[in-house]
Order: sequence, then C-alpha cells, then structure tokens
Amino acid sequence: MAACTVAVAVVLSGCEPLDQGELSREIEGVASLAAEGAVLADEVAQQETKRTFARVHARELADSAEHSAERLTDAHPAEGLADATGKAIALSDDVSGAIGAVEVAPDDAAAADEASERLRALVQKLRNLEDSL
Amino acid sequence: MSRFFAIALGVLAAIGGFVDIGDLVFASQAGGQFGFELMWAVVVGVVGIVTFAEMSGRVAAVTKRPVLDVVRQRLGFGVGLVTMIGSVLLSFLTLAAETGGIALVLELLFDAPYSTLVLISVIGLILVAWWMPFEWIERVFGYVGLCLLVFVVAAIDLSPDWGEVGAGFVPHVADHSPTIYAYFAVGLIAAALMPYEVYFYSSGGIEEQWTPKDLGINRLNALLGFGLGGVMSLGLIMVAAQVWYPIGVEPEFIGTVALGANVQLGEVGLLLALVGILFAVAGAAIDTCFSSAYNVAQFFGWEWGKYRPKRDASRFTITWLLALLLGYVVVSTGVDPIMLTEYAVIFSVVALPFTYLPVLLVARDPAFMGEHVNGRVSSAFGWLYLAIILVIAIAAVPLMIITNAGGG
Repeated sequence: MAACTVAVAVVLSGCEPLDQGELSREIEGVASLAAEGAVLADEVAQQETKRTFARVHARELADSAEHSAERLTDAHPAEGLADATGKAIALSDDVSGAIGAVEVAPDDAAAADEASERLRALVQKLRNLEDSL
Repeated sequence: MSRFFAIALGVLAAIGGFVDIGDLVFASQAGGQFGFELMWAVVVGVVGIVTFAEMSGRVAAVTKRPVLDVVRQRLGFGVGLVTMIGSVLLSFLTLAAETGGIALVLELLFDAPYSTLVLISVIGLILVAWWMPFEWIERVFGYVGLCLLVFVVAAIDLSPDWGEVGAGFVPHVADHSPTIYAYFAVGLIAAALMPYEVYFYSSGGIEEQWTPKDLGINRLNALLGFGLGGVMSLGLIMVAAQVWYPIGVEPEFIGTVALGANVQLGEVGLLLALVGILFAVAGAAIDTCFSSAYNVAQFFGWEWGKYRPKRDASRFTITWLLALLLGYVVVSTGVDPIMLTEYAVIFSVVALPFTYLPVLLVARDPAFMGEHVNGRVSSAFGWLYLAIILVIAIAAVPLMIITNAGGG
C-alpha cells in the first residue's frame, strides 16, 4: 500500500495525467479508511475501546484521508475524469472530517454514533463513484 | 516449568520472523485482501523454518559453529563476505523499522510525540540489551509477546466458517488479482524464513552453551517456538479475514491490526493485542540488533556473546550499540517503519539460498556431525525447501515491482 501510495503520488504530482486505474485505487483507499473509521467509531459509541487508542488511530485515518484529498487536488486528471476527481476530493475531505470527530471527542458516544453512520454513507458514495468510472 | 522456559529461544527467534512490525500488517493485509485463502503460505513457511532452525541448532550444538561461520567455511571468504554484508544490512534496516514500530505502539498507548517515543524506544532497547541476561531477554520478550495469541482467541470467537478455513490450507491460485496473491504468498513464506532468525537462533544456542545432550531441547524449540509464531500469524490472517475482508478494508496501520482484536474482545482484547505487539516488536528489535553484531563478530573472528563479560567481547558490544544508534538515526528521518520491513522481507529472499544451503551441506556431512548427521527425512525436507527458496528468490523482487508491493 505504501509503495502504491508513492507510485500514485508520483503520478499525482503532475508528472503524468491521473488515469482511471489510479483514480479508482485512490477512491478504493479512501473507502477503506472510511469503512475502518466506521468500525472504530462503533467501538467508541459502545465505549468498548481505550480513549487514547481511539484518538491516535482516528488521527492516523483522518490524516491519511486528508493526504488522499491533497494528492488528488495536486493531480492533473486525464480527459473525462475531472468531475469524478472533484467528487473524490470532496468525499475524501468528508471522510477526514467525519473521522476527525472521533479524534476530537473520543469519549463522546453520541458523536461517535453519528460519525459511524456518516462514514457508512460515505463508503457507499465512494463505492458508487468507483463503479461509475 | 523448566520445559516451559526451555523453548524461550525458539519463541523469541520466531517472533522476530513472524510477527514483527511489518509482518503484523502484512499478514493482516493478506487476510484483508484474500480472506482465508493464503493460510497455506504460512504453513509452508513454518515447515521450512522448523526444518532449517532444527538443523542450524543441531549444527551449533554439535560443532559449536553458528550459521555465519558455517557459511564462510563452506562457501568461502568471498561469498561469506557478501552474505555477511547483505544479512547485516537487512538486519539493520529491520532493526531501524522495529525501533520505529515500538514508538508507533507506544503512541497508540500514550499519545505522545512520535519523535520522543523513538528516542525512548532506543534508550529502552539499549538498557535491556546492556543489563538484562540473555535468558531473561528471551523469556520476557518471547513470553509476553505471546499475548498476541489473543488474535487466535478472537479468530475462533468470531465463529469462522471452518470449511473456508480448511480450504485456505490447500495451496491454490486466487480467482481474482493472481499476481497480488502471488506477492502475498511469497511475502508470507519469506517472512517465516527471514535469515536473521537462524543467525539469532544458532548463536543463541551457543549463548546457552548447548551440547549434543541438548538436541532434544533444540527440537522442542524449533517445533514449538516457530510453530507458535506460525499460529500467531494464522490468527492475524483469520481475524482480518473476518473483520476487514467483508467490508473491504485494506489494513495499513498497526492500529488496524489491534482494532481487529478490539472489535471481538473489547478493551481487554485491545490491551492484550497492544502489549503483545509491543513486546513482539521489541523482541524483533533485539533479534535483529544481536543478529547484526553476531554476524560481524563471527565473520571477523572476534570474541562474541552476551554471556561473556563486556570487556572480553568489547567489539561485539560496540557493534550492537552502533547498530541501535544508527537505527535511531534512520528511523528519525521519518521513514515509514512498516514499509521498511516489508521491503526488507522481500529483499531478504534473495539472500536466503546463501544462508540455508551451507546449513544443509554441513548438517548432512558426517565428517562434521558424526552420529548427529541429518536423517533422510531432514535432508529430503532441506532439499525440497531449497528448491522452494530458489523459486521465491527469483520471483520476489519482480512481483514486488509488478504489484507495487501489493498495492495493485
């Protein structure tokens, strides 16, 4: 995954246009982060995890989603992919924000429950976007 | 009780190979991407490492020669030098990664700045390596690392489909993404056979002053110690197959691995997972730290061994201290520890034949081994695994390039 990220980063940095396969992998990666974030949020909502762990791991996931959004923002999408790339950036930002809510308040069960629902909806949107490519 | 403590060396050596910082994530990625389908690869790796660890321990007990000594003696100075440099470099890279890995786990436990935790990790490792006797290092890091068995408990508690689990033990080609599947299969087998495991294990046998009378202990260590390592690796794959695979999560972080135990066993599961990971990764750091120093000292004929007073093995002591300090420098650059170990595993595959061929040649040579020479079964397994090692040595690096290290 790390190597993939490096490879995608090279492409997204502007050396080559972002093609459909690379955009699809990036979306898949963000969907994976969102799905994991929802599981973490569930544990927080049920008060079944450690506060410090929830905060640090939520930060890792949120940062990773944010980095995806940054990489996509810096990329030059191939013809016909500009719209999908824009949607992917917005969804990555949303995922980062939703997981960030868990990072900010790892004791707040109600907020975590809300974040979990939001993240599951975002997973669905990301999968739909990937399928539409 | 003494039998229980007797397998500490095997447990610690196995932990270094099967459940270090990179392998924890790698095994979870295998389960996250392919469900139970890659479990057979762990079994292939376990049988291989049990075969060669038993041989290298037997050679050490009978001839008093650790593995690198055997490599140099059987393959000559030039090949011995290349093997030594390659293995020290890989051990050192892995050590740097494990140091970063300890800091990652401490961060999950205490939420302190990563750079501070890296420094604390290095200081902790130096204090342990300096003050703690070898047998206590084995026991503390080996047995506390066994907290990782929590993943086996979680895997069973998740009520897997045992038919699918059974099918995962039968080698086959995946229906989807066959090259990525092949990359993970090679990586899982290679992780089990990492060369520093047998360097550490055979040198540890000499540290413990094994003689031919201890060959039963050697067999027990090889079978149970490395067997336990394999069981932990299978537990990680099974948890990921049940928690992450169905929802399309590709584990990237050590926190994801721990969260798998949290989901099924709650806070207790999470804490056991984090403590197990912490001690397993620290154990792997000790493995690789001493392996680097053992290899250099044995190649140049210096006095070596943790059991010797430090002034009598001063160059050995300086070497492991330098390895730890240089590891600190590397990990302080901000390199990703998980990525570093995954690369180290794949590149180590190329060095495998140079490590295991001489062990097999000596173990089957009656002039060296006398009555303790390999039996037909040991030799047959040895040659079979050399063939497997050659195949994965050829395939590993191209697969890593083609699959973007499993990223697709």
